[in-house]
Amino acid sequence: MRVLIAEDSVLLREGLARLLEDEGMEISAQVGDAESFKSRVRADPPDVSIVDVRMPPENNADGLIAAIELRGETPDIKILILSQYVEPHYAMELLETGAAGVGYLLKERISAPRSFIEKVRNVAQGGTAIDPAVVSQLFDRKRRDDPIGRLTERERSVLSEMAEGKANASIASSLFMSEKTVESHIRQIFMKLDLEVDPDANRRVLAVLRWLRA
Amino acid sequence: MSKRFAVLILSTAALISAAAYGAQQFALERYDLNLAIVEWLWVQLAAGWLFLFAGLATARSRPEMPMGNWMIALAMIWLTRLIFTPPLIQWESIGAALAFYGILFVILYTYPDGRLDRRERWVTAGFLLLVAAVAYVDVALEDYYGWVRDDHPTCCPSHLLLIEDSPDVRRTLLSWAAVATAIIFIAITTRFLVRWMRSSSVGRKGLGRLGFLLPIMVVLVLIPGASALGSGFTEAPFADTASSRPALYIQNGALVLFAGFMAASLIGARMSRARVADLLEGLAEPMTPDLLQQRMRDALGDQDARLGFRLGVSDEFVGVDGRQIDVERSSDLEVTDLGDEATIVHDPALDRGLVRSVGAAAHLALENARLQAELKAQLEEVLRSRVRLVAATDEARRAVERDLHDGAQQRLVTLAATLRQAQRTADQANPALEALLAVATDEAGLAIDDLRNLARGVHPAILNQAGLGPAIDTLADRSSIPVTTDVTDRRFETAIETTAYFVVAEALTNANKHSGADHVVVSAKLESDYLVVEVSDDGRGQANWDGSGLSGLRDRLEALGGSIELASSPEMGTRLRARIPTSGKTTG
Repeated sequence: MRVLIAEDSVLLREGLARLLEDEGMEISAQVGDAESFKSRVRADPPDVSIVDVRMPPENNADGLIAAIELRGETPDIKILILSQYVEPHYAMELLETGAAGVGYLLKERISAPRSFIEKVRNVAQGGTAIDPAVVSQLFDRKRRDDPIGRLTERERSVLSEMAEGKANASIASSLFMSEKTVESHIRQIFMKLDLEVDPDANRRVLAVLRWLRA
Repeated sequence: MSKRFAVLILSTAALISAAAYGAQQFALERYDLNLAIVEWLWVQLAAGWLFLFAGLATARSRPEMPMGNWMIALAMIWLTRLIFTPPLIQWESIGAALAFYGILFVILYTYPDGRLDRRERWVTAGFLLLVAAVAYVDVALEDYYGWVRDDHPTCCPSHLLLIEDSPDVRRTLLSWAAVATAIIFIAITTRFLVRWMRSSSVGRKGLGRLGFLLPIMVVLVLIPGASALGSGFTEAPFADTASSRPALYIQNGALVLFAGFMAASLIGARMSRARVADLLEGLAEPMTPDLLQQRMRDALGDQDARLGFRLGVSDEFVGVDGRQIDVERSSDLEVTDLGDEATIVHDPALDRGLVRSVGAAAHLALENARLQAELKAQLEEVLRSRVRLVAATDEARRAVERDLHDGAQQRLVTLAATLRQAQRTADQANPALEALLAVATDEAGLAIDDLRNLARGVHPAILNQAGLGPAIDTLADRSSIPVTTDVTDRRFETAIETTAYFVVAEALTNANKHSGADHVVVSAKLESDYLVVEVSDDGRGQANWDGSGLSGLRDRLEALGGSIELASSPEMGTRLRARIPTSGKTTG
């Protein structure tokens, strides 16, 4: 698998590259600013790009803006955004370009390599990865609101896993339940939240997150 | 002129008047005379006193002009003349003639200020010489009152200057002298008229008010000439004959009129000083130099007067129009200083007292304007520096956040990743080390969390990156009380966005800590050039300015020209409302 790393901190970039190479991935390019990120992706599209939100030249959300621009040009470009801060806004912006093959994770997730690599792979294969911190922040906000209060503890866990972009099988394994149980929970949840059931896991993420932020 | 001097003059005049009355009574009793001049004593006394009062008032109100003193002197001589009641004492002595006609001449010649320049002094001296010669002829050629002596041998000794008693020669000479005097005074009148025509409107006003009295004064001296011509040089001027009585009427009447009009003109001057009060009254309102100059012109009654401002420390002045005023060249202008900075350039004919009063008021106005301008400039500088301080604070916070983001945060993430790797490596070989490294990794994670929260509190990166809406959304996400937001999509200047953000952040922090509210509503909207931020909760409503970050926010808002209100009551909960001026400065 070929991975592009766009990150202005050399230290982090090198660490990340080593980590990915240890997992047998190929680093197609390492860049430190949004402009070279865009030109490298256009010239030689990798399987997935890991991109820092904040990068030169503006040191604002240049990485994110570049990623959105690229996905506007070619919707199936896979992007995993890394951020220092928990900003649901960025996750949503990225998801608005299509939920397939995007991810938004906190930088510190690198320090849990196994789960991190798994998420990189997931995104590269067209999945979705939303940081649990983002999801839990959205959950916290919704918690006191009525509809979410009607969910059971179990259902909330399933909803939270869904929001992170996990597929049913993945949810089943992490919550130690059968896929069938997961499916029935999901039906319950969608009914309670008054949402339309969407079998596509990625579109489901967007629907859930939108609902959470509404 | 001092009060003592005025009292001295008035008491002397009273004594003279008493003496004149006494002399008249004495003459009437002793010689049983009935002369026109004696009949007219009361009229002449009244005329003299009126003239004296006018002179005193003139000297008092316009001390810079000798005119008042000349008038006093003339009045005193006029009154003194009355003592020399014929035939007791001979009036027409050389000295008295010199004094009376000399002063009258000066008054008419130098009207209105009474000042003699070099040439005028010579002319006056020449006139006095003529008067002296005539008076000498008058005295030397007549044995006055010889006819009285016929009846009263003990009366009226013939005087020392007597050359020969030849009334015919004397009469002819005096008649010609009267004609000459009349011509001289006609010349003075002509000169006056020429000056009147050449002078400024202000000067004309001053001259005009009394100027038409000049002919009346001329009458005083013309009458003798006219009567001399009328009698075909057969009678001496002022001879006590029936034909000369109208002349006496006119002469005295003229003097009374002159005094009356002089008094009227002085009252006029006093009234123009009352206009200074109007000027002072207007000082309360802010005064531009233009406005001040107009007020000053109105008060002076001189629409050509100008306000001049000194250029640096030079002797050059510029007007309110910024053009230079050539003070040196305009000799028909006078300059009155207002402090060191400014000056009034005006017509010299203006009443100096009035100019001084107006000047004092204008000086006050200028000082006032200067102080106001200084204060305003200082205030503006303070306001500007406050804005700069806010901007500097924002920039410093951003720099701190940037440094944390680019430095410590990245290092900690790398450190955590490395620790995790170490932990995995140690896994098999050394369980104790693995446990320690697990703890270290968790600690690093916590440190990352702490640092993230700290950096976010210092300055939220998303505010610059995505604007107020996403930044406030994140605040709302982190609130433990449910928050509803309604925030404009517009972007504003950094200082404005930062201020709005901190208002919401502070209000939400307070609501979460103290209010016990169930719900918070946050809105930030553009309302006619103001970004209005409002945070209201349904809590206990016990918020106040003390001990919270709110007072700091208030300073910040005031620096930007905005305002912040806090309303808090148990019934309504707490509502914080901030208005931040944007002056239309939105960006997208």
